[in-house]
Amino acid sequence: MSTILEVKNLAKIYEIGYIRKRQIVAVDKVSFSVKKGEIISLVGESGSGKTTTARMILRLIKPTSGVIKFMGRDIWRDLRGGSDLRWYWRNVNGVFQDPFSSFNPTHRIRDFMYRAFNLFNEKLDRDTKERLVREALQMVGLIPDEVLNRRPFELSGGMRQRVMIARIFLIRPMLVIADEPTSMIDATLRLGILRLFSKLREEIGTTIMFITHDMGLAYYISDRIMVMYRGKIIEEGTPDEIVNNPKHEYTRNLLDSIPKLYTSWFK
Amino acid sequence: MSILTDLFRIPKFVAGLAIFLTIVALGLVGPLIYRVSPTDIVGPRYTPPSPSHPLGIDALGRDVLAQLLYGIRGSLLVGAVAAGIALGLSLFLGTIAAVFGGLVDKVIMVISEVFIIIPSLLLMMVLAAYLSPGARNIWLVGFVIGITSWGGWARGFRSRTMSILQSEFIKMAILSGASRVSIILRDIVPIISPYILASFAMLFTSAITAEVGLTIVGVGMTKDITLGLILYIAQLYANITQGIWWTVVPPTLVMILIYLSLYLVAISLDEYFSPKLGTA
Ligand SMILES: Nc1ncnc2c1ncn2[C@@H]1O[C@H](COP(=O)(O)OP(=O)(O)OP(=O)(O)O)[C@@H](O)[C@H]1O
Ligand SMILES: [Mg+2]
Repeated sequence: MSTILEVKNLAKIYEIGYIRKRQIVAVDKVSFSVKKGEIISLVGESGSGKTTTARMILRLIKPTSGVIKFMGRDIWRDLRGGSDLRWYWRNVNGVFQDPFSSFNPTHRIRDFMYRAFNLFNEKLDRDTKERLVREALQMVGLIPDEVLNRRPFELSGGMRQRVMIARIFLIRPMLVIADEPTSMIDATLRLGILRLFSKLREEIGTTIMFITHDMGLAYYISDRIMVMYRGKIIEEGTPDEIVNNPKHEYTRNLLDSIPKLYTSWFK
Repeated sequence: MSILTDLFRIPKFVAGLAIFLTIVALGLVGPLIYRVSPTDIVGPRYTPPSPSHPLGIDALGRDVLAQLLYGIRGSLLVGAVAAGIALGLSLFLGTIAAVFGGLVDKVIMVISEVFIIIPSLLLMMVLAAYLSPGARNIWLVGFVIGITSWGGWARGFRSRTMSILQSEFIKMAILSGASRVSIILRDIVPIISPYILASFAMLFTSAITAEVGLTIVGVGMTKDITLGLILYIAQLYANITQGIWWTVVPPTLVMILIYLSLYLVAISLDEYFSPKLGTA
């Protein structure tokens, strides 16, 4: 399998405060690579730098230093102009952690979904767009007629997360960065939705990077797990390697906190 | 529209809108019903109000009610021209500055600073020195007031835009390939629209007041009738000291009512929307 994403010495330092400047090292010289078609999880406690890493890969915040290469192209150096960026986001897209702030309160769900067609090179007519949007919503268990004309505040957190995932199924990118994509979705629906991500991989070979603080979930869905702690990746391996033979103290603590019920379910 | 029904439950909003619309109706329809020319000499100067001239006659022998109706029309037009120009410039430049940032932002901020410093009085004085008195019409005065009052509002729009740009949904829009223009038009403007309405109301009132100020000190309107021009003539002939109240009280009252009504509309819009959209 070929490498689709390569991250080298990636770092992000936030400067906060106006008078007394304080530096927060959110991501500390992280390196890893992701193979095409792989499902990889980034696991770590709150504040460990997962979202910051995701944002840099999605090309939303500029790294302080380091290189991110997607299909051999340095995303901060080699992408120029609108069409390069649209190409990138057509191929690399994501689901955000917070479903409440990720929707413009004045937009309808239809507006939210249709906007993604900006990324498409092919010219689609209105009927085709509508059909694609409806199919995507149905995939995540939403009834199109019930949500399309609603505004975000009329939907629950779980429904909004599903709309964000439907957007991914509409775009069908090569690489999905999913930041806690199912945190508010009922356990009963969650597994079905996670299986949809696997289906996307089977169908079009999508690579998926899951971000979660839930080791049980990561164990269940991943080919490979990376453990992040205070901005660094401290451990990396297959789920079984991580669970059976954790090298780092912190990983052991994470494993202890998995509810027993959960592990017995998934093993 | 639940927003409208909500707004119509706020007494301040309803009262403000009702008063303002009444004044607008007076300015638009009044001259069509009360068909007396505001410039003709209709009788001896300073005839007090009477059935044939309900608001009496002014220093130049003209009908004050006709003057007032045309004056309302003129002042509303000055307000609309000035507020239109100022709102257009401030909204366009403020959002562009925030969204494009960098050099664009710096240049726009410097220009807005310059226009904040230049008072309309100064610009009008300079123009008054060069232009023939007949050129000082509604459009020119409206333009001068508009061009000198957008600076502060541009900064307001810029800072509101900047805070919205921090939102997650803007990042989501970028991930959907939205252009900067689309982000301004489809994300920013709908969210700040109540603030835009409120700012229009405030610009409108301050423009009408500014026109009166400019005209009273003698550098404003000369050609078209406005509330300012009526008060200017009244002041020129020292009507107040002579006890000629009918040329002074009606235009002043209308001025105050315009100010008050739009102020009520503006603050009720702001109070209603700010907490809802988190743009306070
Ligand atoms: N815009 C910012 N300005 C300053 N500091 C920030 C900013 N964004 C994140 N941080 C800090 O960087 C660190 C990493 O944050 P990040 O959001 O990447 O963590 P996370 O692993 O996603 O956490 P969580 O599981 O809570 O989502 C934290 O200490 C956070 O406070
Ligand atoms: Mg996070």
